[in-house]
Amino acid sequence: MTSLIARFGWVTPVVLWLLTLFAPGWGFTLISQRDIIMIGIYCLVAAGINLSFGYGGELALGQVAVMAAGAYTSLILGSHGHTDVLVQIAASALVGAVLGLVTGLPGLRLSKWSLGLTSFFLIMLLPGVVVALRDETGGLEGSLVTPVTAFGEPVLVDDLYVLVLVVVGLWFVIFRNLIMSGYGTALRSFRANPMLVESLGVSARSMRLSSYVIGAVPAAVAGVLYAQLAGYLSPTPFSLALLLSVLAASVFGGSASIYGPVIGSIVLVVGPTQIEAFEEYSVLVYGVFLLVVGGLFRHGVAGYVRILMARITGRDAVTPGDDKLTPPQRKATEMPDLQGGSLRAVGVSKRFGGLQALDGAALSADPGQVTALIGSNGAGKTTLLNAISGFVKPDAGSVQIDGTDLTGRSAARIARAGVSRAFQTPVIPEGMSVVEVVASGALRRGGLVSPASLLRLPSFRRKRRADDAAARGLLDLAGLSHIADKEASSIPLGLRRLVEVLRAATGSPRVVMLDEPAAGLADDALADLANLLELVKSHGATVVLIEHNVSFVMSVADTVYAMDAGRLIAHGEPEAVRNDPQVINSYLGRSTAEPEQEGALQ
Amino acid sequence: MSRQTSTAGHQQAPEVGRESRGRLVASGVKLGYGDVTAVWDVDIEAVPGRLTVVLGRNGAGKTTLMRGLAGLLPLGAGTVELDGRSVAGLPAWRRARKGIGFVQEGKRIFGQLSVEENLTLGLPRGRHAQGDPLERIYEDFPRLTPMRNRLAGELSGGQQQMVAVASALAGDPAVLLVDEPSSGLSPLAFDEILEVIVRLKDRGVAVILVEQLVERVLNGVADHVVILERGRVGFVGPAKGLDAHQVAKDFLA
Amino acid sequence: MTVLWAGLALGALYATVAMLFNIGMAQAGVFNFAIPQVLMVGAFVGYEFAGASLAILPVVFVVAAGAGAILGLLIELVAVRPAARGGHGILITTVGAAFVIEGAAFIKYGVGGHNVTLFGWDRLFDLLGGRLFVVDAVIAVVAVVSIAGVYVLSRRTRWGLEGRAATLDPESAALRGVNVTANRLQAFMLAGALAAVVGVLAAVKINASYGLGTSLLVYSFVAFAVGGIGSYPGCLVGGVVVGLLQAYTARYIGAEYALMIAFLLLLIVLLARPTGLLGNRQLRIV
Repeated sequence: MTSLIARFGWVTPVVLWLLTLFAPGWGFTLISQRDIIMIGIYCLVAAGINLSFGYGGELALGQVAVMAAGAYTSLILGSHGHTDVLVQIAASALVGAVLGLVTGLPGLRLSKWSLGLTSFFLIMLLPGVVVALRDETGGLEGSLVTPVTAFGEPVLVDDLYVLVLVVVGLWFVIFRNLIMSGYGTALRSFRANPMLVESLGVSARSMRLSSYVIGAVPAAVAGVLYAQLAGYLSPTPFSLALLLSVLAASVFGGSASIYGPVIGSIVLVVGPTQIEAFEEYSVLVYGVFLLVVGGLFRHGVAGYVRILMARITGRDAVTPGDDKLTPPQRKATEMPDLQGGSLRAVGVSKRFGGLQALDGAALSADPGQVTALIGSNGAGKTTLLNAISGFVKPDAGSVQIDGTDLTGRSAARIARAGVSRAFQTPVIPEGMSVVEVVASGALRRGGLVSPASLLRLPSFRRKRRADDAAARGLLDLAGLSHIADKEASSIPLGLRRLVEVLRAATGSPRVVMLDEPAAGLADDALADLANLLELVKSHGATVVLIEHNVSFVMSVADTVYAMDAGRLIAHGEPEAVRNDPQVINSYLGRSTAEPEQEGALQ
Repeated sequence: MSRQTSTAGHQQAPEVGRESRGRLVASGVKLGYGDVTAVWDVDIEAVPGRLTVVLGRNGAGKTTLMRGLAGLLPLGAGTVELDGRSVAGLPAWRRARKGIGFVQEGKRIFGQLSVEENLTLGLPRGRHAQGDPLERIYEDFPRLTPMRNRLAGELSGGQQQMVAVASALAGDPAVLLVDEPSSGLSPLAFDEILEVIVRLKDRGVAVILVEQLVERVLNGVADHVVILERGRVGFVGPAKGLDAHQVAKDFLA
Repeated sequence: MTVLWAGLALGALYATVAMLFNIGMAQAGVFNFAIPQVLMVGAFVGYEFAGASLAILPVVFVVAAGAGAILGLLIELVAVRPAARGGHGILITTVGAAFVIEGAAFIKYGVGGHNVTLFGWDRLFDLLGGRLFVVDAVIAVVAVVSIAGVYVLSRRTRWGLEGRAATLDPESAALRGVNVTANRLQAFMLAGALAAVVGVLAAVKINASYGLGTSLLVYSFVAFAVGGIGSYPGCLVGGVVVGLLQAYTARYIGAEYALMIAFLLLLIVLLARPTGLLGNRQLRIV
């Protein structure tokens, strides 16, 4: 049942699109053709907002200015004789992309508001720019728009209708395929935490920039279509009121959804036209709308529909009884490729201001082994992990995986080289099921976006299925298959830890690095974690583990490295390290004078 | 072990210079998140001069209970009274001002504020003379004195935990709730924190301590033990005579 | 010289608005998109009192401060509090709040800008070879005094410390006895009151129009970004830079280019030094 909906969910929008396309031909005139064209234009602009804000978490308030830029590009091209609509659309798309880049690039090191206000600036700049280029643009008074041509023939009103629907349809296909591909997963992961997406091999910068740029393109194209619809172009329509209504359309329909803009646009185009004297009240009404929707009606129409569907099909939130693990149901024949590589970190040093966090630290890890890193807080364990995985740039030393030097590379680059890492505080994106979260580890293998993924070619589908099967296999082994299709952000802490570990084991990692995975786990969960690590190791994985739980470390590790004050003070077999006097002095303290373990695990 | 209750007052606190206040009594407490109940019908007391340790596996409801007592969670059912007056309807900040201090799990301090600012935040309102009360804290925590103007986030884990405990103490709480101070600390640093807590108890503070390291706290630290199992009390009684290994096996294994 | 004074006068205005943004960011962790609109409401309070003499100066400012404080309260209650949990929703609600206020002003006062004379402050006077309006001098004084005052409030008082702590970690702050909600509400009300008071002055200096808020928003944001997020002295620096830039551009190149130059400045600052000249390196909330 659930897979039927997943597979054929696309049928409804296509049918609706076809009906809209042929409706006028059948004399269906409930909504005028002009209004439908307007709805289509709104859809494009709102969909751009959905991409960068709904999925990417960054609000671009300049969509209307981008739209104007697209419209004026079309005007200028048309007045110089380039009336072919495809040329105009392509040029406008380019202009939109550049604008997206210009407003997005500066705010990269900031977040949230900087994009919003920088792009808002564009709307304020618009009249001035139009005036400055008045020879081309016709200044504030405006100018007539030359009708476009398609394949040499002029595009008339009826043809415009078809054109708009085709463009909108195409865009939504691209948008949907983008969101449902690795890009969508990466974008959601980015929204949850930029560091997460880096650890999946995707640079946070490129996620941000690409979402602004791709989000700006439909707005610019919408501008071209708008210019044709209006027949006359001036800066006046590209006002704050328009911005507000498009924003409202996106949010009302559901920002974090693919088809939300359609619903929102219908409401926001048809609604106001039915009310007299709307003009004067428009800004106020839109403002109220945004207040209400932003605060209370967060998920938008599409979002609530999805929640409802999830309730019906059982893919909803996890219930309390779910934290009991289920025994594996199938043989471990579908184990993903876990064969690891060798890690050599030598002489790594790092200084933060006055603190020498790492002082010539070293670590070696080999396939088929669990290498543990212990040490008191402040000893530099996490810093070393960060230096190896690229979240911190070492001042000196080298980090090599199977002989390839990765020292000082970016976190995303190192992740793509096969270094996976689980964070101490699990990061689980919204809007994804548990199996999707685990499968997102496959992003580390690359292939974020490709023509195959955009066109949903068989090769892409095969890869998708394989990744899904591998993820399910891992979940099954961990005893979590019963929550595989549940909403991942609703699972309790103990399970989050396991899911983090599983995500780190996906995507053929060469080194799996875990940062205190045992912290906060109940004893049976600890045993399950230990078993999982055993299993993973027996398939040749290279596992590096930071842990405080001494007894846990003793039970799972093959090699132990002990650190203190940024330096390595002992390494070797677990027992030997534990009894090393230096280690005892610095880390274990007087409570290991007795042979008993801390905690209650044997 | 079956459920036992014992009220043998085995260790009277020398209530030196301290009013007889700080008895926190919670009974029939029910707490949850949304429609998931994590704590059912728990009775627990914080008694001045007594260190009560709460044990139990993860998911048993220990942290939920602490958060409920501190006021971070609304009470689903039951009563919580401080010195005979109900505090159940009071939000966390009110309870803090009434003298219920809570040191959360995980060294939660304000990393971007200085150590001194962190400690000042803990001070009770009204008495604005910054000099004296802070000096008292630095006496109890001499290791923090040279760090007073450093950003708390730059300190080591053990020092940060000290700041967390010290700022809770700055408010001169009558009741102190501490949640897994060992988490993320080396055993050495943990020992130091425990020492401070035990000293506090000796001064008459009512302490409830949640911990995972059973053996460490049962040997000479805890006066009273409450063990939680799946949100209910599995055992309550004096710590004396408890065999750590047995407890671990019965309730935690 | 006149250009210099014009630039400084504008700068003082932008510095004050930047300070208002800073109050929201540093004390409550929220970028209050709607604060320039509260300023606009203050401008209309001035408009309603137009022609008044110096004698009732306190009344005008008290009414404005009151209106601003109430608006600040409403904004917090309606736009910030419900969305605070949602994380990204707050972007939408504060934009919504801003335009509810602007939309209401448009309905009531129409599209035009209304000139406002108050206390005779629209008089010109000479200073060091340049001319400036009395109100400009007043704005400058208000800017410096209020920025200094808020700085002391934030760094040296318990209230300021509590607000900063509450922004960093509301739960831990509550456990230290901080009433986080009350603190945030007070910060919004303070910013609202100050905004409206400055609005009265802005009405005299510029005019009272429904679009006043939006026109100040962009320049003030540049001042905020240039001066530094989290730094009150930075607001002064940023304001002066932007004000001077606008004045000199308008005088020597052309008024319509002032905005473009400001935009370029914004881009350069964001690219080169994202947290601003004096900003707190760690406060990357914006």
